Amino acid sequence: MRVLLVEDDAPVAAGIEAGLALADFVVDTVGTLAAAGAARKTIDYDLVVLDRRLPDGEGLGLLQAWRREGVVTPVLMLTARDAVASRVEGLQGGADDYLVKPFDLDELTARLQALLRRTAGQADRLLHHGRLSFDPVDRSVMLDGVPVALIRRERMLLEALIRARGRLLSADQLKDRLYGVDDEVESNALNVHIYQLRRKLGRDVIETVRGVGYRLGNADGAVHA
Amino acid sequence: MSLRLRLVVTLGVTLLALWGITAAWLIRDLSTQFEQSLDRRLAQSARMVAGLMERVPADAWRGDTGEIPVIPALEGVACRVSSLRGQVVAGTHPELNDVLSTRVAGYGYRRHDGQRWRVYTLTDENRRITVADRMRERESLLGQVRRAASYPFLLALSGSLVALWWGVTRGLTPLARLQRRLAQRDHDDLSALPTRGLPGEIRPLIDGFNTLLARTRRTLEREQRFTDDAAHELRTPLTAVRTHLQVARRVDGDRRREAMRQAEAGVVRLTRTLEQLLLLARMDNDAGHDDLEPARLDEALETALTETGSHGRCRLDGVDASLCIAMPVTLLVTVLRNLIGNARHHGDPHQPIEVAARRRDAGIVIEIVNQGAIIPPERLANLTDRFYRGNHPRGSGLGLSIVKALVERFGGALTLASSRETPFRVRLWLPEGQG
Repeated sequence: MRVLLVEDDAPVAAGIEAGLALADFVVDTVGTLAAAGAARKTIDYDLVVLDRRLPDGEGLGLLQAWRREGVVTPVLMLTARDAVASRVEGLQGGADDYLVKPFDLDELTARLQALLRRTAGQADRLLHHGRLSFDPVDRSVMLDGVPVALIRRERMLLEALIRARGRLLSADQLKDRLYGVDDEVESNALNVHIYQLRRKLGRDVIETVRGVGYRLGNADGAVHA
Repeated sequence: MSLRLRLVVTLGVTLLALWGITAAWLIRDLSTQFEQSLDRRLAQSARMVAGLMERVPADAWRGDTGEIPVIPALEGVACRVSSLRGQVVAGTHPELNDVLSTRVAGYGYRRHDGQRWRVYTLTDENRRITVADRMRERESLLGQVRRAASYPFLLALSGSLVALWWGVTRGLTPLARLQRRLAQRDHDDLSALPTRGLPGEIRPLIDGFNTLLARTRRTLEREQRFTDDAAHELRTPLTAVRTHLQVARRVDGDRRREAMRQAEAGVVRLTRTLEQLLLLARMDNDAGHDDLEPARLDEALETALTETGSHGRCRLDGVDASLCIAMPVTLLVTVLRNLIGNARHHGDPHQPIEVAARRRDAGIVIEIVNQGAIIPPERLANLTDRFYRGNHPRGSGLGLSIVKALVERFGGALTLASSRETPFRVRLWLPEGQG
C-alpha cells in the first residue's frame, strides 16, 4: 500500500522509509507542507504519516485543511511533544492516530495496518477472498490453508486487489501501489507480476477487464498450480 | 482587620465623639440658661406681688384683724407676704414655714418635707415678699427640655452612622468586586485583570499586577517553547537512531551497514545537542567566574581555527598577542568556534571569512564577516533564539544562542548585521582583560 511520509528530518525519514519498506509499504517522502499538498493531489495515497513540526509550518494546519476539503485518507501524526493536550489537539484536528517520537518501528507498522483495517471496516486481521487468505501483518498468503510463496511485489499486488474488494483498479492505480516515485518501472513489469500471481494462485484469481483494468476474479475456481 | 471595619470604626468613633461633645455642651448651656430664666421669672413674680401689695390698704398691715388671708394653693408654687417684723400678711401654703419664713433677701434653696424649693425674697421698706418654686417641677421641666433638645442629635447621629456604613460599603464596592473576581479565577489563569471601572487609587496596583502577570505569561511561554524545542531536538535524532537500528536488525549486507551508519550519525547529533544544552544550562546556573584568567585572543582564535579546520578559509586582521579578553580561554574558544563554524556552513564556500579585531571602549571588538545570501531583518532577529534553525536543518539551532549567552555572561555584547557589503557580520564586544 502507498504511504506519504511528511518528515523534514532526513535521517528520521530515511529510517521510517526503510522500516516501512520492510513491511511492503511503498513510501514517498516529502519534507515540507507544500510538497505534501502537491504529492497528495497527484497520487491517491492509502495512508499519510505526518510530522507536526515542518519547516514551512505546522502539520496539523495542513491536516485540518485536508479534512475541510473532505479528504478522508487515514493520517497518523508523528510528534516530539508528548503532552496530553497536544495529542488531543492532534486527534481533534483530524488525525486518526498519534505516535510520539521516538517510537518502535513495529508499533508504527502495526498502527498503519490497523488504520487500513479500520478504513476498510474490517474486523479480522486476515483478509479473505474465497479460498484465499492474506495476512497483512506477517505478509503471508494461504490458498486453502496452504502457504503460497510470493515475492514482495506479488504480495503487494495481491494486497491491493484484495483490499479493493472486487472494485476495478486501473493499471496506473495498481502501479501506484507497487512503485514509489523514485522506482524504475519497466513497461511490462505489472504484466509479469499478474502472470506470476495467476500461475501461483490459479488462472481466475485476477480478472482482466479489457481497456479498463483489473479486479479479483472468482477465487472459488482458482486452481492450485 | 478589614479595610471596611477599620474605616467604619475610625469614622464612627470620631462622629460619636464629636456629636456627643456638641450635644453635651449645648445641653449644659441650655440648662444654665433655663435655670436663669426661671429664676428671673421667680423674681418677676415677687415684684408683681409687691406691686399688687402697694394697693392693699395700710390697715391691713396692723395685724389687728387676726386673720391671715390665705390664697388657695397652687401645686409647686408658693408665695408669702409678711411684714418686716415677720408677721404674715397673706400667702399660700401656711404650712411651708421652713421655706417661706426667711429673712435673707435674694435667691436661695430651702428644704421642706424632703422636697427642695427655689426661693426668692424681695424686701422693701414695709414688707417682705417670698416666692418659691418647687424644684421637682423645675427639674421635670428641665428634663423635658433636655430630652427635646437631644432627640435631633440622636437622630442625626444614627443617620450619620448609617450613612457612614453605606458610604464606606459603596466606596469599597470596586475592591469587593475585584476580590470576587480574583477568588473566582483559575489557579493557572494568567490573563490580565480588567481595569475598567476601577478607582484611581487601585488602578496603579492592578496595572502593576497585570504587568507582572504578562511577564510571568511570557516567561512561561518561553519556557514551554524551550521545553518543546528541547524535546524536539532530542527526540528527533533519537527516533533516527532507533528506527535505523531496528531496520539494521532486519536487513543485512550494504543496507545494514548504511542503517548502522545513519544510527551512528544520529548518536553524534544527539551528543552535540546534549552537550550544547548542558553548556547553556551551566551558563544559566553558574554563579560566576571571579578568579578568571584572561584569555589571549590570538591563542583562542588559533585553537578555534584548528578545531573547525578553517585555517585556509579565514583572513585575519589586527589580531596580535597584546589583545586579551576577560573570559576563560575555553569559553572564548567555544564562542569563536561556533561563529567560525557558522560562517563556514552558511557562507559562500569560495569566499574567505574575515576575522578582524581592534580595541574600543575599554574592550575589544571582534568582527567575523562571511559572504553569502543577505538575511532579511526579521530572520536576523530570530537567529539568537534557542533552537532557531532557519533553513538549515543540519544544525542544532543552539550555536548562536550559546554564543550570545556566553558573551553576555561576561559583560559583552553581540550584534548581527546583514547588508550588501557584509552579507553576514557578527560583531562581538568583549571587555579587555589584563594579560
